[in-house]
Amino acid sequence: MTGGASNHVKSGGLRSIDPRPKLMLMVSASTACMLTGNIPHIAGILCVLILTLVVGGADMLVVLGRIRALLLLIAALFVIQTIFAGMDGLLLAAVLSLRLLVVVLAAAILLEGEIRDYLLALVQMKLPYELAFAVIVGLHFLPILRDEAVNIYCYMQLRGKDFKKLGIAKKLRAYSGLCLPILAGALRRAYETSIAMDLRGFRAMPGRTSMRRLSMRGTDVILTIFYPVIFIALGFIFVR
Amino acid sequence: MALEVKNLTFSYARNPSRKRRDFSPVFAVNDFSAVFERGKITAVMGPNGCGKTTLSKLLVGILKPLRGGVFLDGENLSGRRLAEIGKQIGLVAQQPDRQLFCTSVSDEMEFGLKCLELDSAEIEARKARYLEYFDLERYAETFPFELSTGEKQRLVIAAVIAMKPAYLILDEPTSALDRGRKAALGALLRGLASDEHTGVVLFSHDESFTARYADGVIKMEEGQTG
Repeated sequence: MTGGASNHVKSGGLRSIDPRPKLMLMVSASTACMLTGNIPHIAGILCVLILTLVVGGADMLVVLGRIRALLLLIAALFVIQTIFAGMDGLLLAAVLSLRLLVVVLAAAILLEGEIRDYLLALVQMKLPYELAFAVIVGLHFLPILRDEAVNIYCYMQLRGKDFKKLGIAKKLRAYSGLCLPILAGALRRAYETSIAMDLRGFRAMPGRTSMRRLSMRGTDVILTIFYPVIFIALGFIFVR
Repeated sequence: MALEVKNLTFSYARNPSRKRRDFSPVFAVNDFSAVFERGKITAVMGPNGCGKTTLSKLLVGILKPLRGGVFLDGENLSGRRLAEIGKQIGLVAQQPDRQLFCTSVSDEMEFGLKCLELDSAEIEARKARYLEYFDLERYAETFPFELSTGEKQRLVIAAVIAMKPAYLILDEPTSALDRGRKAALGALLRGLASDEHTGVVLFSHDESFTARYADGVIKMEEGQTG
């Protein structure tokens, strides 16, 4: 199998885990941190995620490099919220930043695996193939969107926009200009991709089978139960 | 006065056509040297994947070379900000969608001109001139993403040319243009080269277009001069 998986995780560890515990981790961690506003609770969830990465054999430097831009964005959001909301907003800013960190780290764990395995897992979880395929296609497009954002940023500068000379307000307004072509491009690409897929016979046949089936081992079952339970337990410990 | 490229070498981190664990460098541009003079149209031609687009990005500083450098009128461009380079070297890249970032054709034309801090009369004059030349006047208030591919390509070319850079780099500028519009673009480029002394670098597959309008041709093969 090939796919969009990373190659910095040793065989075994996170790579050998079935995709379903990882999907459960993603869903339960993000749901738990959205339901709670308690900082120690969210910090606890964050610790579980970091431990999962470390114990799972992920190269933390590579993971940090991959999410560096998002970490900077989270830090910037924290600072901006603190500036505009003052000390009252500090707690809110901390909760928001921790929640975002949880989502980013959960996604980083999700990336430690073969993309096509997630498609199989989603189909085996009875999600309609069309929907599961759309999710996987969307994941494949994420790096392309990132590259496009970088390209557009370069072309804006080549047309004379000097980001370094702008004040914070003007800089934020200029950065928001990046969203328009990225969003328009993403919508157009989604539309064109769907037409191209239909024209190549996608959904032409009533069903689709796969030679390979994923099977959950004991560890996978335990992990699938472990993550939601530990996040709920952390809630009981910290939220009183 | 020229845009000079000396021993330019660039490699992407990994060759996507190779195996996942193969990290050996593959040079997209390898020890490439050339001189693009002002007042002349120089075409760079070569097969798909020979490094033309990479070279165009290296020329304006979007990509940083591993070795060698780009010299604008004798001055090394390394370390200069893109916004500074863009005022002297205009780039019309291959995909017009990625170079449109405003909500109307009119705003798109004004974007670069305002960044040059021109007065409003000059901005209006240049905008009107190039919108008319590229037959885009009637779309002035249109959202650029609603235009056809050819119209988007013309809009990007118009927006970059309106900035009157000393050098103009065009990557496959005729790919979405019909014969009449190719001729109009060719005539404009000739005019820019002869009247405004603009150095034009044309990356193209279009042999008839380059044969008709280019003063010189550089062949490129596997990242090197062929």
